[in-house]
Amino acid sequence: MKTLKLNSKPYYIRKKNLNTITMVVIFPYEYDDKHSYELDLISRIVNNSSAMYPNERDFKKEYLKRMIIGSSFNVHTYYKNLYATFTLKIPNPRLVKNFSLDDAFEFFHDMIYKPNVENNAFNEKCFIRERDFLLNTIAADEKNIYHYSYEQFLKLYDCDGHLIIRNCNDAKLLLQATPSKLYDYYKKIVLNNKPLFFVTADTDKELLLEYIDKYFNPSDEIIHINKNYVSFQNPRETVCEVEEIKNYNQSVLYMGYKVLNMRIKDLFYLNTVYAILNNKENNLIFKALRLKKGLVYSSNVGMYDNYGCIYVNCCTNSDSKEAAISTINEVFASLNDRELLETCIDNLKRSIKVKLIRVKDSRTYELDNFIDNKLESGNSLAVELNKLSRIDIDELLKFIKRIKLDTIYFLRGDKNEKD
Amino acid sequence: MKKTKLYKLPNGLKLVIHADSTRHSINANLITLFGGINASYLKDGKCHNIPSGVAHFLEHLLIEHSFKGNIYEYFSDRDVRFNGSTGNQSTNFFIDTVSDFDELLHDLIYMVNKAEFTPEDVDYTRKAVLEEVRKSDDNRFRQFSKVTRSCLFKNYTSELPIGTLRDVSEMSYENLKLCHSLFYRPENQLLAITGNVKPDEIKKLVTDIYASLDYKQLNVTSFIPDEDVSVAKESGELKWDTADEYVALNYKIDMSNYKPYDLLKLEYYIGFFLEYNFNESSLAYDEVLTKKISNYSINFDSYILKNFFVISIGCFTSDFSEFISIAEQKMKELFISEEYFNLLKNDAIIKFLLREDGNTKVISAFVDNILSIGYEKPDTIEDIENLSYLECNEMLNKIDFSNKCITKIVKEN
Repeated sequence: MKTLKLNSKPYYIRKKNLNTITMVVIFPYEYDDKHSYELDLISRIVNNSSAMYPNERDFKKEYLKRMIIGSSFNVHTYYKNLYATFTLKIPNPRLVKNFSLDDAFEFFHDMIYKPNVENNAFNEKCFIRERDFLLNTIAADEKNIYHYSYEQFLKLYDCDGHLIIRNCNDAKLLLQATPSKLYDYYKKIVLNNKPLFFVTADTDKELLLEYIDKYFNPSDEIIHINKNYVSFQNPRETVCEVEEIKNYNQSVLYMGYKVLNMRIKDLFYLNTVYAILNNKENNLIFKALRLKKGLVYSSNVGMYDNYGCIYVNCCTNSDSKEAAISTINEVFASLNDRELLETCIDNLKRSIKVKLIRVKDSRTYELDNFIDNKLESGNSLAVELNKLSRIDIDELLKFIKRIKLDTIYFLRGDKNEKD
Repeated sequence: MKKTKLYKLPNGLKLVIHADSTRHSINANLITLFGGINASYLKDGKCHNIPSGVAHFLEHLLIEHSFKGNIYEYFSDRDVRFNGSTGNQSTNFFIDTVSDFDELLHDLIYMVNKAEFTPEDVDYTRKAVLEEVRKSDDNRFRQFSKVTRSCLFKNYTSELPIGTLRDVSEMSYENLKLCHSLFYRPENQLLAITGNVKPDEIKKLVTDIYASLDYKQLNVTSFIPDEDVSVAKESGELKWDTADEYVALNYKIDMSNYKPYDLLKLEYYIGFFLEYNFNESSLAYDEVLTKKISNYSINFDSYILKNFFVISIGCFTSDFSEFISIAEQKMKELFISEEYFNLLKNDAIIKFLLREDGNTKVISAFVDNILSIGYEKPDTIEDIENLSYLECNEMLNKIDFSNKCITKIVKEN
C-alpha cells in the first residue's frame, strides 16, 4: 500500500484571464461501504442549509446576496479512500462591484464547519426532509429504464458488493440513518479531520492566502493518506447470462467484462483499452454497432478500473439482441489484432495531442489535473501521451487476452415486441 | 481581441462571427430553420401535410449519407467534434476543430446543403431512427411535453420533432427530398462561427462556398398555420407507470406586438419574476415544503415558440389543486421585491461576464436573440444595468395571463 504525503498549506494555481476564483477543500478519510448510504444524505443536508441559515430558503438566498456563483459538497470514493470535497466558485473581485471576499469566505467556512446541527445531531426537520427526498428519488428510479437496467446488471456483475453499494441507493439502508449517527460520521470525516486546500485564480495570491488563513487556519504539516484504491474482481468461469422482460419500448443490453488476475500495473492497459473502445471522437464500439451495422441509436462503454471491470451497454431492438452481442464480442476479439491495435494507439495519441490544444481554453483543466496528480487519482493528458508513446504492444496484447466476458444482461422491452 | 457581429449575405444567409484571438479551437454551428413545428407546405395553392419526424430523419440522413459518407466518422477520424440535433424550430449541425478550419467548414456546409442520400439509405437509417423514437417513447417528460403542447396550441402540431413510430416507419424518400429542397436554403439558415478567426476572411470563404452550391427554384413554400392566443384545452393528462405524479400550470402569452428590444428586456423581467416567486428561496417553495405538498423543488421555465411566450410552473406532487392554487396566487399577485430584483440583476451581470468562459456561450446568446426575438445585436452589460424595477413592474402588469392550461402526469393504475 502506498502512502501519499501532501502539504496542508494551500496550493495556488495561477490561471491567466480567469474571471473566477475556485477553491477546493478536500478532507481525505478512510472509507467503509457500511457508511455509503450516509454520504448522499450528508451531501443533501450540507448543500442546502447551515447553522446560520437552517432552511433552504435563506441558505440559497445568501448565494445571491454574497454573489457566490456556486458552492457544493461532494464525496469521491476509491475503494477504501474517501475524499469529502467542498468547492467554492466566486467572481474575480476586479470584475464585479461591491463584491466581498470576506462575505464569500465566511459563508463557505460556515457551510463546512457550522452545519445545521442541534443537540449534537443534524437538525431533525432538515434530516427528515432530505431523507424523504432521497427515498422519493429511489422510488422514481425504479421506474426509470436506465436506472433499473443498470441496477439489475450490477446485481449480477458485482461479485463483492462494492460496486452496487456505491452506485445504487438502498431505501432500507437509508431508513437506518439517524440525525445523530449521521452527524457523528460528519464529525469524523470533516470536523475532526485535516483538509487539503487548492485554489485557482488570476488575482493577488497573497490576498487570497490571507483569507484562507483567516477562515481556515491551515496548519503547516504533512497529511498522510494511505492510498488503497483498488479491489480487483476476477471473472467467473462461466458467463452469467440473464434476460428479463419489462413493459418498456426499448430493450437494453449490458455486457460486463473483467480482467483475470488483474494487477496495479495493468491499470494503464485497462485505461488504454477503455479509451480505444470509448474515445469520444473515434470509438470502436460505436463504429461497429451504429455506423457499420445500424443496430443501435447509442452505445456506452463504462469502466471501474479500480475493480478491474469494463462494460458495454446499448439500447437496441429486441430482434437485434444476438447481432449486438456478437458485434460487441467481435470488437473485443479484434483487439487481438496487432495492426489494428497499433492504429488505435496512433489514433489515441493524435486525439490526446488535439485535446492538449483544446484544454488551453479550459477554465478548469489545470486545477482538476493538479488535484488528480496530487491524489494520484488520474493521469494528466501529457503523462498519458508519454505512456502511450512508450507502450509495449506485446504486453498490451497479453493483457487483452486476460479480459474475459463475465455477465450478459438483457432487459427486453415487451412494448417493443408489439411494433 | 474580441468582437461579435452579424452579417447578412446577398444570398440571404445570416452569418454571425465572434472573433476571439485568445481561443485555440474554432466552432461553427449551421442552423436551418426547419424543425418539428413545420408540419405543412403549400403547393399550387393547396396545403399538404409534412409527416412528423421528417426534420429529425433528415438530420440523420445528412450525417450518415453525405458526400463524404458517414460524416460523423469522417470528422471523428480527424478529431473534430461534431454533432447534429433537431428541435421544434430548427436543425443544427456543429463542428469544433483545432486545425484545418477552412476545409472543414466547406465540408460542413456541403454536407448540410447537399442531399446525397438514396432510397436505400433511407431504409437503412430508419432502424436507428426508430430506436431513437422508442427511447423517446420511454421518456415520460417528452411524452408529457406532447400533452402540454396539445393543450396550449390549436394549430401547431403537438408531435415531437422525433416523430411517431408510424410516421417514421412510413417515411418516404420523396417527402424527405422535398423537405430538404424546401428548407435547406441559405435564406433559411444562420451560420455562427466563434474562435480565432478574421471576420472578413470568413465572410469571403462562406460566400464562396455557398456560391458553388445549386438551389432549384421551387413552386412550394413552407406553411405554418395561424395561431391565436387562446389555448386549445384547459387541461390534459398523461397516464404513466410512475412512482410520483406531476402537475404544471402553463401560460400562453402573445408577443406579436412587442418590439425586439422590448422582448429582450421582457425575457429578463419574466426570468427574474419566476426566480423570485418559485426558486428555492421563494415563499411558494417554503409553502410547498411546509404543507408537505412536495419534497421537490418547483420547476419553472419559459420559452418562445413563434409569436408566443410560454411559461410553465410545475411540481412533483399528487396534491394537484393545492400546488396550482399556490402557483396561480403568485401569478395573480405579480410581485417581485425590489431588493431581490437588484440581487438578480447583479447575478445576471455576473453570468454575462462568465459567458467569456465558454467557447460558444457568448455567441449562442446572440444567436438566440436573433432567432427567437428578432433582436439583431449582441446584448451588453449596459442592457442589464439599464433594467429597472419600475419598468419591470410596468411590463409585467401589461401581460395578459388569462390564457392558461393545467397538465398532469398521473399514475396509470
